[in-house]
Amino acid sequence: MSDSNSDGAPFEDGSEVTAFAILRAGLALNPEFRPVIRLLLVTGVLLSLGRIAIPVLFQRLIDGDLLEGVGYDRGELITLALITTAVVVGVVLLSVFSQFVLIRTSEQALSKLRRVVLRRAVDLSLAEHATERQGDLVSRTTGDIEALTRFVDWGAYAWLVNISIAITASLTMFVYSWQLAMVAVTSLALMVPILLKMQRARQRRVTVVRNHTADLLSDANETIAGGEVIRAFGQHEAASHQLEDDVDSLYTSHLHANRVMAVLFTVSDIFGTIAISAVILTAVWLGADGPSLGTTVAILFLVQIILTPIAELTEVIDDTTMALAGWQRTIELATRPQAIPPAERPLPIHDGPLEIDVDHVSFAYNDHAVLHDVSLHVPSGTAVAIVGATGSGKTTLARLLCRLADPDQGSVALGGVDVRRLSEGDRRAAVRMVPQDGFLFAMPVRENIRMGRDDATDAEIVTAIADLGLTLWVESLPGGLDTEIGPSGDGLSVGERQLVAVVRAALADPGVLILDEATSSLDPATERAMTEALDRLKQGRTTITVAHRLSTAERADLVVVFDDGRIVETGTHDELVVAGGEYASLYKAWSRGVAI
Amino acid sequence: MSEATSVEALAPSGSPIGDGLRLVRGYARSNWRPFTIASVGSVVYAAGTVGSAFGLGWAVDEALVPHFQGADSRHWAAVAILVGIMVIRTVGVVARRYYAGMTTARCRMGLQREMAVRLVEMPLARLRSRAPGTMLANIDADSESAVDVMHPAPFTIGVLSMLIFAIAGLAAIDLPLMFATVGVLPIVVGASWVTAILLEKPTTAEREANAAVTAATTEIIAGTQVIKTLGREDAELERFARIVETHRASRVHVGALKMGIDTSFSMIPQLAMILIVVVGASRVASGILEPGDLVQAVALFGVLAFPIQVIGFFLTDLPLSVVGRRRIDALLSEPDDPLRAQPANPQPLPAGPIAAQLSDIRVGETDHPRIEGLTLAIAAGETLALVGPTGGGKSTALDVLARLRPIDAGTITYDEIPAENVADPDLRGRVTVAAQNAVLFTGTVRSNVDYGRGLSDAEIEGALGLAGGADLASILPDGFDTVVGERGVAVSGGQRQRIALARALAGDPGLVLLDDATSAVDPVREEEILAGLAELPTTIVMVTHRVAAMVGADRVALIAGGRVVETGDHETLLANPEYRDLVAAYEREAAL
Repeated sequence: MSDSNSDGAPFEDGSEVTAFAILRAGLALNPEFRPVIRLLLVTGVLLSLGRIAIPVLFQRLIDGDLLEGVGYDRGELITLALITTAVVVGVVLLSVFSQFVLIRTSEQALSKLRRVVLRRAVDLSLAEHATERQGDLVSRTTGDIEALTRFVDWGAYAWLVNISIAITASLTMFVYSWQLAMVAVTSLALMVPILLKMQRARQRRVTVVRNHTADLLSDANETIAGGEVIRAFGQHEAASHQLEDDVDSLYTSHLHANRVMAVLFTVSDIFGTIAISAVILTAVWLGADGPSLGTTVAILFLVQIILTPIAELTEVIDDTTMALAGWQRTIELATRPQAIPPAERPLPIHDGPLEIDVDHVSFAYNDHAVLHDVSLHVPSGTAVAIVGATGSGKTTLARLLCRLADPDQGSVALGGVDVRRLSEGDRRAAVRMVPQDGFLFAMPVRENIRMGRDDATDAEIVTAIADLGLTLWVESLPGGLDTEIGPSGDGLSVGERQLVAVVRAALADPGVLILDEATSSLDPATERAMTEALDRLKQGRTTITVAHRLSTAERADLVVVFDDGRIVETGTHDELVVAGGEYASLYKAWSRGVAI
Repeated sequence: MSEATSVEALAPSGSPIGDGLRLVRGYARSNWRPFTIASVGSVVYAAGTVGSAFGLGWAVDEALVPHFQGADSRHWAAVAILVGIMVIRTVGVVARRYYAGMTTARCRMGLQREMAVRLVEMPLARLRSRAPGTMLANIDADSESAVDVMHPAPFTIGVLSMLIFAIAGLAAIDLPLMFATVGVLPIVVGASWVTAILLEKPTTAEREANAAVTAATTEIIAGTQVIKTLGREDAELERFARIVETHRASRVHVGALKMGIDTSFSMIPQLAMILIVVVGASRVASGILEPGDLVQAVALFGVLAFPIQVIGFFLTDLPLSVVGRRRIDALLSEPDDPLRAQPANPQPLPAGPIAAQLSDIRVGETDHPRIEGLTLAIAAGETLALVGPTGGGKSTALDVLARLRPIDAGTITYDEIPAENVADPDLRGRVTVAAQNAVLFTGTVRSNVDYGRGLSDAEIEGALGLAGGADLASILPDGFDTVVGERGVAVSGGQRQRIALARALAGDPGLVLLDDATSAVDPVREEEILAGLAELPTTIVMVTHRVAAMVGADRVALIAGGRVVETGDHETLLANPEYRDLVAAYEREAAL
């Protein structure tokens, strides 16, 4: 992850990121938040008018000679009170309306952000998917946005509204008495740098909290996936201790962050008292030339009105720092340079079987080189089997052919066109991969098959199944095509999942078919069904099979042998057996296996 | 910290407030020390806040009014009083915030620790029946919302005491003034009650929609490669967009409701202040009250404006926390794995290879059992291959032998000791498993083979040598110290299987159970591995599809239709047409 900051990354590596930098980057990513800010300002002004109504009422009463007990006019008092009440209630009604609009707008923006971030997570190159911890990706696309959501719900609101209340109250003070206002505002302004410093300390600690959360989730994920191993080896205590240790570290980091928070809250109170004392002393010192009693009392109330929002702000700093940390991670993910940039001026490609040219291709997963200078020409319509030990680079080459990643050096061309110059639509129509792990979605078999081509009709699905000779197999499923698949493909065996993937590929009818054969042995019935379906599917296309079965290699037009990221042999099965190289020794191991 | 870990499920009662208050009581009881300190701090803060209103009134009467009337102003005394009260408040705030945070964090820690234990202690079948994304949400977001209410809880106690102090203070100033404002309280309480009731259902709907978003995210990220190879990015993101849209709508609903309530709450103290001014002004005019008294009274309600909202936050948080807690309780209510029950009279397994006997085993209901009437004797030290069609029951039989799956009828013995008399730790030390789907854990190859058993380097390397073939160390970037990444993603499938096999072979097991454990290993290596296994002085039972393994095994058991059809060596079984067919199919599809 450390090398992810290349051009276009919004934050510099390792440097402290300010809240404003995050805000700027966030607004650039989600301009929908701009009207949200304007709405918040309107709401803030409305609410601040409501708040200052009462000190103003007070000033009018005291300076209206209430003090002397003369000039008391019951009617005027009632009128003033009614006006104040009308202001308070009216302002609440208006702010309810503006807040409602606000909620709608911000939820709209947040749901867009969720979609953008998940899209980017899906778009990450497979090289990143292999090394990014999945739990971490999930937490970025859920937990971090969740934190941001909580912030928009109430934190952002508190910030803007409270700031406008503070400004309105300060301005009102200046209207009453500039001397007292100066004293009050200066005393209060002194606390701002202190608050900012503490906020940064808090943010650092909140980041630690988030990291511990990510650790806990990724260990929990492993505990769930490894449930059987843990039980089989009786490692219950070790597994739960590991999680409990994660929980304890998370707890400690929470306490650590909480310590700053506890002190943070007192700052506004301390400075509020300083401001009130200073106002009283100044009023006394200014003497008869200074402001009236009513004005002084009104200013004392206004100081308190400023304090309340500041106290609230220190309350929301908790959510704010959490949200900013989450937002920052979200923005980092959402603005990663696109791993597979689309072709700028796409070139056309012809239908039917395509020839394949792999030209001096090298590829590494992060720093781990997998392919070294691989070149291969496959005439159109050829059935190729790639064999070699696990980890020799076979599957990686297959992935490059359907552009799940781009080579670091060299090029891959289909039908004479570099895959980087093909439009996404053309590429998908031209090349289709049947992966080893036929991941199925929690929906009926029929819908899982339809993923091969969205507009396929039920009749086309049935025909495709019949053409592949799989009708009997489908009928053997408990609910036929309507068989429901559980979460993560439950209900079908590995082989059956791959059969679904084969039908998907048939619906797509690509010119190049890439097949990553299941490594695991299938039971004979599924195996027979698979062999026949694949033979039919291969008709009239170029096929590249990452082969794990000798029979596949025997039947191929061309066998390519991989060793340690390099092509070491190419030829037909018979030629290679005679040649006596790597392939011949694999073949011998196999024949001994059955001949004993 | 033991007080943090006693977690009892929250029984439903039907009243959201009642449930919420019982939840708070439970949390407060299990962490009574920090909760008490936070509450005391909160009361101190409340007293200080009310005191500050009096301080302000005193300052007006004794410092400002005399000053404007040309009398002696006691302004330094006023400042001293204000600062003194401020110090009291500060102490209260720090105590409240720090210990309320600690209470919340401890409650959450207690829930998370319980969940951690549940994840490993619940029966395997129960674990598999739960969606991983939901369990992760239980640990993360749900545990947070389940305890969120503990943040405002001590403050609420403080605010309630502040109200009492304020009323007492008002009564001390002037009784009519007090009665004018006490009338506000029933409104606050009533509104809060209605709020909690109004919010419960929409909140539940919002949490469910949120869980659906998390589940969809997890599924899409797990299936990214397939989604890409199918070109299904747009369709999947469209599906996600629909789920997000439902979520959004439910959030707008809850948000609008909460906002309306919170904002209305903020109006109550302001209206009360106007009432005080109107009532108070006439009392000042008639000379009963000093202006300072009126300032005090208004300041009292001024300082209450924010805290009174805390009651609102507390009451709106209550149903949220109840919902979060219910979701967690669903996980926490999972039972312990009965297979791990400690036997009354544990009998130790003897050293050396283990003989095992399955007698008349049934797994599943009688109308469609997975296996039924399965009887199989396994001799100490032999290598037995289990062969048969998919769905025939070989893997189930292996799970039963591994004590990973409870049986519904029959008996299991290890060295003639009934399985239920063997203590789980003893069994797990002597009977090991490697499966086709080899799951590794974050760490090095070495730590995965050792797997917490404290094995020596020689034992670990010996097992890796047996399972990995000679070349495994050389093809891994950092040899046996290579980090395998979360769930072993950094190494290939074949390498994963070999490491998982080494894990099963290490530590001198008496019975090794292999479920197609070398399916992703190339045939040259597999041959080496099988030859090495044959030399081991241990009992091996393997489910396999490789003819070489069947030929090399001491005996083969053909399992079909949930029972053992025939046992014997490979040559003998070839007389059985069903076995012959299987062998022919396997030979045709021999793996490369």
